[in-house]
This record gives sequence, C-alpha cells and structure tokens, in this order.
Amino acid sequence: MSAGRNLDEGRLVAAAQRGDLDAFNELVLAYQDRVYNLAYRILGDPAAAEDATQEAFIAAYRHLSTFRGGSFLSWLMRTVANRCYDELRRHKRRPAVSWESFGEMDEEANPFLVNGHPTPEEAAQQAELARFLQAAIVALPPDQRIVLVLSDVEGMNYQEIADTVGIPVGTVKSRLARARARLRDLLQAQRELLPRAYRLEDED
Amino acid sequence: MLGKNRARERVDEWLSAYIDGALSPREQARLEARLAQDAALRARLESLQRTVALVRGMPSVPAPRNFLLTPAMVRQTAPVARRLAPALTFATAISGLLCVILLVGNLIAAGPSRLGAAAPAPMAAYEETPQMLETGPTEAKKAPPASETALPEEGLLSRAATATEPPAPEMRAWSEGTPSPIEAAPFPPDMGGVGGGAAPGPPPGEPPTPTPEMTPSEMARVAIAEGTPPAITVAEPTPVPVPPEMPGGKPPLPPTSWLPVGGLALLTAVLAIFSLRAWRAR
Repeated sequence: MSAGRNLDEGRLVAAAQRGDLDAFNELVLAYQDRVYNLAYRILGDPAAAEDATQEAFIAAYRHLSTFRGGSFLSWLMRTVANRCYDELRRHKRRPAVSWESFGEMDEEANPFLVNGHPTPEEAAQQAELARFLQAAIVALPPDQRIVLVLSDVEGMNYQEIADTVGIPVGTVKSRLARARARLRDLLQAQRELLPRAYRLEDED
Repeated sequence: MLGKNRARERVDEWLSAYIDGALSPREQARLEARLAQDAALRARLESLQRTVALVRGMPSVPAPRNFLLTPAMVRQTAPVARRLAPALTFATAISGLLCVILLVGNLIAAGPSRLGAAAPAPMAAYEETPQMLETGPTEAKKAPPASETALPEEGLLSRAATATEPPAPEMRAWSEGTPSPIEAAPFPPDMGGVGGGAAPGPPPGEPPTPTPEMTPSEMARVAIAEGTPPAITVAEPTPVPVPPEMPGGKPPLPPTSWLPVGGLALLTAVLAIFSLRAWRAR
C-alpha cells in the first residue's frame, strides 16, 4: 500500500495532529480516490460510498491522536473499511448494482466508463467486464465481500485484513477462499454475459 | 453431500492460500504433487487464479468529488455531547443532592411518628389490651383467638362484669359476626382503633354491667406491674388514650410529602442516564 503521489506524509500528519486542517486536507486530496474506491467496492453504491468516504475522513481527523506512526494510508484504509463494515452490518445494505439486475443495467450508471483509456472498443469491453465483476462482488455475503475487496482490490495481506476486520487470520483465509470460489462459480454460471476474452471455462 | 461440499471447500482454501503464497513449504509441496497428477484440480486452480486476476485487474473508481474538510465539519465533533455532558453531570449532582436533603428532612420530620407507625396502632392496641386486662393466670398468656382480637371490647366488658363468667350471649353474638355498634361507630383516624375496644359503652338498651371500682384497680395493678402508666382511660367510658407509641402526638407525614422525594429520585436517575450517554458519546 503506497501513497498515490509524493508527499511528506509524516510532516502533514504531524501538522494535522496539531490541528492544522489544511495539512490534513492535503492528505485528503492525496488519498480520496483510494478511499472512495474501497468504499464503493465494499458498499456497491456510489451515494453510500460518498457518505462513507466523507465520514471516514472526518473520523480520521477526529481520531488523529490515536495514530501512532506507520503507514498513514493503511491506517486510513482501515478506518474506511471499518466504517463500511459497520454500515453493512447495521443496515444490511442492499447494493445499488445487484447481480440479478446486471443484464438490464444502464450503461451510464457504470462508474468505470470515466476510467476508459484504451480504444473505444477495448474501453467498452473493459467497462462491461468491470460492471459484471462489481455486480458479482456485491452479490457476495458482506463478510466475504469485505475480505475479498481488502485482499484483491486493496492488496492487504492476511494479517492486515485480520486487524482491520477484527477476525483471526484463519477466518480471513477461509472467508477469502469461499469468496473467491463463489465469485468463480458466479462468473462461470453467467459466462455468456462476459466478454468472450474473459470467459472462464467450467472445470467440471 | 455435505462431506463432499466440505471437501471442496477445503480444496478451495488450499488453492486460495496457494495463490497468495500463504501455504507452508510442506503444504505447498504436497499440493504441487497432487496438482501434477490431478488435471481436474489443475483446472480448478486455473479458474480460481483467473478469477483473482480479474478482480485484481479491476480499474480503480475515481472519487466523484473532493472530500476536503471544512472547519464547520470538524467543529461537528460530537457537538451536543461535548457541550451537554458537563451540564448534565452538574444537573445530576444538584438533583441528587436536593433529593437527599429532602429525604433527610422528611425522615427527621417524620422520624418518631414513623417509628410508631412501624407497629400499626390497632395491632398494638390489641396486643396491649389483654395484658392490661389480665386478671387470672388462665388463658390470658395465650394469644387471644381471632374473634377476641377482632373485638377486644368483648373481653373488656365480659371481664369487667365477672372475671370468670363467660360473656353474655349478646357479646358472643358480636364476636360471631353480628355488627357491633362499636364497629359501626366512626372513630377518628388518629385513634387508630386503640380505643375501639376500650372506650365504648354497652350495647344500646343494656345497662353497663362492669363495676367501676373493680376494673380500674385491676387494670392499674397490671399496668404498674408492667411499668406502664395505668391505663385508667381504658376502662373509662370516655374516649381512647393516645397511643404510647406516639409521644408528643406528632402525626405521621402525609404520603404526599414523599412525592417530591420520589420525583427528584426519578429525575436524578434520568439525568444520570443521559449524562452517562453524553460522556460516552464524547
């Protein structure tokens, strides 16, 4: 987990801990894409992800005194992951993009379109795949979903995930395995919806 | 079926950990040996690897707007709790103090009368009366039967007439449920029923049977022996003595005087709960 751009993280964090809001806002600008992406992947709903991101930054500023060094980004990601996890548990939030409604989803609702760099055809294919994957991820049970996102989207290791979610490492391993297997089964079951280049073969 | 699913889950767990490089060297060697022999297991691993690769390759979703904090947002740090917690604590303390002061005041004001009230006056009178009228060693030591305790005047009158004679039929009739004129006669509440058995005159239409010289002297003797003032008034046809448990004749506090104490106690409890929650919210 590394910073999105070069910045004197230590100095900014120290200044923010002394109450310098401008210094903290520099950190916000540096990390807001990462934080929002994580919130969106876990919650599956753009509006909820915005709320969670804003609340996570406010909570991080309020509790800066509890930050004891190390990677500020990791600490921040744990903060937002915890908020999303609480949100999922509290409201049993249903994702805006459901697996069932994937087939008839509006193209404009796809947030990945803004990320399209390749040729128009590739971009369209990538966007379709991304929508498909996001729909599959939010179809996972929340416990499995958050572990999958923290591992395969955020690149956290087992121990970091265990610390963030507050579960043993063994539970992280089993939940992650179940999440991946379930996602694989979903992709195999609906492979005709995937772009041809990305279709999984059924091993059975 | 369940065992098969569990076995598949175990295999997926191994494959997932293998993808992350999280198996021990020994476990990894065992799995690789199996993979070399089992084509279906290899296909399973490949599909899982492909799935993980797809997720890891998902493009990042950029933030739709800036999430810069403003001083107003930061000032919102638990505003209500932060302001209210000390005020609520102070209010709790004041309310609790007032409650204690009021309670102590009430206890002081009602202390003696409350002590008297601890043994209800009618019962005290019933316990006293047989002792005061005790003339013989017979059944007087025993607790009087319910009918006697219910109508102590029966014992008084009958013993006053003759110490050994059974009560007159009319008296027995009273004890057997016929409403006594004494019961029917209203008494002031502060008598507490003490004189209910001592003061009344004979039933209407019947001349008073007791010999006035006998009963008071007997009663005085008994009373002196017990160290209490002679309850001459008991035998007098005039009303009832003031119960000895109420020195000074202080009336008990009316129940309404305890209402403010209860109200303040309730208020203190509610304030304490709110102030606890406010401190936690900080």
